[in-house]
Amino acid sequence: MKFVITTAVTALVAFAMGLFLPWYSIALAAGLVAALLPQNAWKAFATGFLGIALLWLAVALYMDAGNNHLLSTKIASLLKLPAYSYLFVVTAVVGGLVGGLGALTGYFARALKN
Amino acid sequence: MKWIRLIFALVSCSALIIVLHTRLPLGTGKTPRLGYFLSPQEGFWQNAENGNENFSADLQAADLEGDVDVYLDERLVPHVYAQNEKDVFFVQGYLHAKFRLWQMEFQTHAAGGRLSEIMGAEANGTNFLNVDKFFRRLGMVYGAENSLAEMEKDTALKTSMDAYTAGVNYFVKNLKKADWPVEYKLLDYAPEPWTNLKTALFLKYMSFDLAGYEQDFERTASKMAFTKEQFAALYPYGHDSLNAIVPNETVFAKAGLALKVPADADTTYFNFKQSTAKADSIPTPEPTNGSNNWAVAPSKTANGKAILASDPHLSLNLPALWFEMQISTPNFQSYGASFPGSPNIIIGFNTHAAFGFTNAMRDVRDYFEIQFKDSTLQEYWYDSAWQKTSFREEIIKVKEGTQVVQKIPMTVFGPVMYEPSFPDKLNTGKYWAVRWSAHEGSNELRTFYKLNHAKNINDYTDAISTFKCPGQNMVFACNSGDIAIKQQGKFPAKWIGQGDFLMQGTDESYDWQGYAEDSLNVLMHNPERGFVASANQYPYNTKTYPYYLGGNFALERGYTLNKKLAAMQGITVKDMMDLQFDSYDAFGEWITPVLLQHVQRDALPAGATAFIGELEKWDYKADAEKIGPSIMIAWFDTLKTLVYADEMPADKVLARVDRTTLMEALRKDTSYMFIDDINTPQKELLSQLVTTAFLKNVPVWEKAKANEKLQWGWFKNSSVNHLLKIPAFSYQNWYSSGTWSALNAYKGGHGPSWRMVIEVGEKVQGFAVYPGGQSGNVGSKYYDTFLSDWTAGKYHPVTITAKAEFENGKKFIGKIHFKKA
Repeated sequence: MKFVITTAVTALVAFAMGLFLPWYSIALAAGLVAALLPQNAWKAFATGFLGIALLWLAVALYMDAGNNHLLSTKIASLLKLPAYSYLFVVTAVVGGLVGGLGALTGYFARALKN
Repeated sequence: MKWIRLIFALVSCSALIIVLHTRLPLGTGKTPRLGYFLSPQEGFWQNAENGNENFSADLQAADLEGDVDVYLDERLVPHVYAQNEKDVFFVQGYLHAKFRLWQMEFQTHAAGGRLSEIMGAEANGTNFLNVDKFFRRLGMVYGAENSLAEMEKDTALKTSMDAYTAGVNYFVKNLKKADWPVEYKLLDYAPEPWTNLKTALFLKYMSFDLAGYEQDFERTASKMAFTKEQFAALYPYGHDSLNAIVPNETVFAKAGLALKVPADADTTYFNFKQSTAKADSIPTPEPTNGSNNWAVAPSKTANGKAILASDPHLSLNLPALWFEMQISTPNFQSYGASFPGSPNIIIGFNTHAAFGFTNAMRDVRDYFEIQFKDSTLQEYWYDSAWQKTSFREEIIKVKEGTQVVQKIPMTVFGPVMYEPSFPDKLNTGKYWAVRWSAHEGSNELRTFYKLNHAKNINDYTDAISTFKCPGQNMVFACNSGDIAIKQQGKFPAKWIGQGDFLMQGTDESYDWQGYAEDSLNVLMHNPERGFVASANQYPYNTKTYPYYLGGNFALERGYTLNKKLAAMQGITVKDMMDLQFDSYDAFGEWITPVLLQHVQRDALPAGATAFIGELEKWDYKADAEKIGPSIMIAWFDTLKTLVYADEMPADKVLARVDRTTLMEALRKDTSYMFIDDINTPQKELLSQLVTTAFLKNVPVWEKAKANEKLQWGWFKNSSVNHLLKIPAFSYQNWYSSGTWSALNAYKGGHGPSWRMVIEVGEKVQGFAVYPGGQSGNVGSKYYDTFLSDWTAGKYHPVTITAKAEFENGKKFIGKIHFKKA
């Protein structure tokens, strides 16, 4: 349960920060959440990864749905991806990796105190 | 241990962010910053416009004087209703920025020699630094500054430009980072404020595109390589089949200027050693930038109303050059194609009249060799004395953070464009000053402003009277039934051949000695034949016009247009739309019999004769589904290479020979002097060359046929490219009708950029279309909405709509209300 909550909180905090801060604030968001809701190292990485990956995936899917894949198809072709669907994977993985490493850093920082 | 794993995690996380926040090298270009670009809250996903986007908004701006309403109709064409002119141009600037901001800025960066700032010194095989140097040294910024000073002297114009600029900047200031057009995100730079100078730069860019074509260096090289007789056969003055804009039989007044011709004008003053090394990246405008426009008098139309048609042929890009809109105040209402980057409607109509343009094609750019006293370049010899040089510093910023300074010597002619450190096409190692009409301060905006307000023929002649560069054939019709055309511009009065070659800059008789008097820019007003028309042909009969008409003129479209209009009666708007889309190819009709007559049929392999058959049954229409044009043009182009390759090897810099020149030569002389291959002992015949050219193409046609690409629509390989030439944002190998020598002149990436046919009655209205869409956003469904209709020759009705119509239920997809803050 804590795993699910941490993931959801990570996504929410990252979304809120993203309204005002540059894209890499996702690392900060994931790190803060991992420090305040500590689990273990693996779970910290996993929740950070999933939280951000799901956030980015959700926003991308939302933008794309209303757009009828018009832009994603062109950008996929620009980035030499075979189809627009790959762009979701790339977007989610890039966001997820930054989120995961951010969360891991936050968790390890918290662990210093124990 | 705990510290180490923390540091390890922190370093990995930071390193990943840094990599994703850096533009990485890819090929000769760079990727966007991937983290930023992919971030759905900041990057490209934000540009994925919703299919049901609601464009409505309530806005407040301090620069407004009153309320303004904008209704966006179903095609996203804005209809602007303002209470005064200042407000209407403010909102026009706002709308241009809202839908086309990136393009406006990119085009003015190109014009002002600032591409290195956003693209880097070199990217994707283009040397942008060299392109920037070219535009700076040509004097684009210098000319724009001169024109801006001239335009700002005119109060009404200054008001309109200031308001326009304020409108653009109102949009830019309130634009959220996430909403920046996707090109900014790709290339990683930020929008900057608009200025009046940028509007002037944009107009100068049109001068470059339309009045920037010359081959003075190449022609000089050709002059050195050929005899006088050969030269005349390669680069003739005039056309055999000329059907001029002003009828051939017109009698002209005598020249007002007695031009002094230099004594040595014809001798070989240019005895430099010719180099074969080409200077790289010297931008040349498209040589066949052309257009059609015409007006027919009420006496020739079915319902007794004048009709005006205008289709400017330019590079076809996405976002498109044009933005369609209506602007209205209690003082005037106009509708048509506007330039994002400039106030006013440029080609369109108002409640009384319609107006359109084609390019004059006159050569108004020449080069003069400057003799400096010494290497300090402080003084140069002109008019029997040492003259003081002034210097202009142009600072080119490069994206990587460096800057390059060009210290350009300024002379009586203009800037020294080429010098040893910025070599010319022939690598002469000399100093060449450029004199160009576009350097002069001039108020082109006044013409458009006045045409937006014009009610009658006098308003028209007044509006165009001040227009200098780029010279245009300006067609006009108003609801009194008047029609008119005039080639307007400031054209240097030239002696025969003046400015075709490089000239010496010490003897003032080589310099421009004055301008053709305005009475020799002939106005045709309500001619008896009932129509006026132009299609970039020679404006006047070259045999009788008193000044030399140097330039780069087209023959075929003008010939076709004048013949067809002369034959038509009871004309309807539909007839005029069909004529604009007409693919009849006069060039094809003229050259095909020559090819068919001279090919040695018994020398052809079996199977190859099928291609002959295709050409024999061709009806000379370059429609997409035809095979004939694919055979004709490939065959002819190979023949042209065979005819000239021995005299003009590809590695030599020489002036281009027009297709029309060879076509006209072969029609009258089958033993044309260049047919023989000078590298062989025997004498070649036309029939041999025609046959060889055919045989060389057989494999090409066979391959195209196997791939089902032999139809002209595929074979001609047309495109509509994004301004950055990104294939994913472009339409390439776009199946379509048209050819360079037909009225529907779509070929390559070039063609009718706006087709408009207007009936000028009590109500002025008609039809129009352009190959693009109203939105510049690659992620909008309005990015390319009109392209298919345009390709199929379909039009949309265009009319000045009263605000009440929208209020009473006429459909619209958005309403923007502006209030004074």
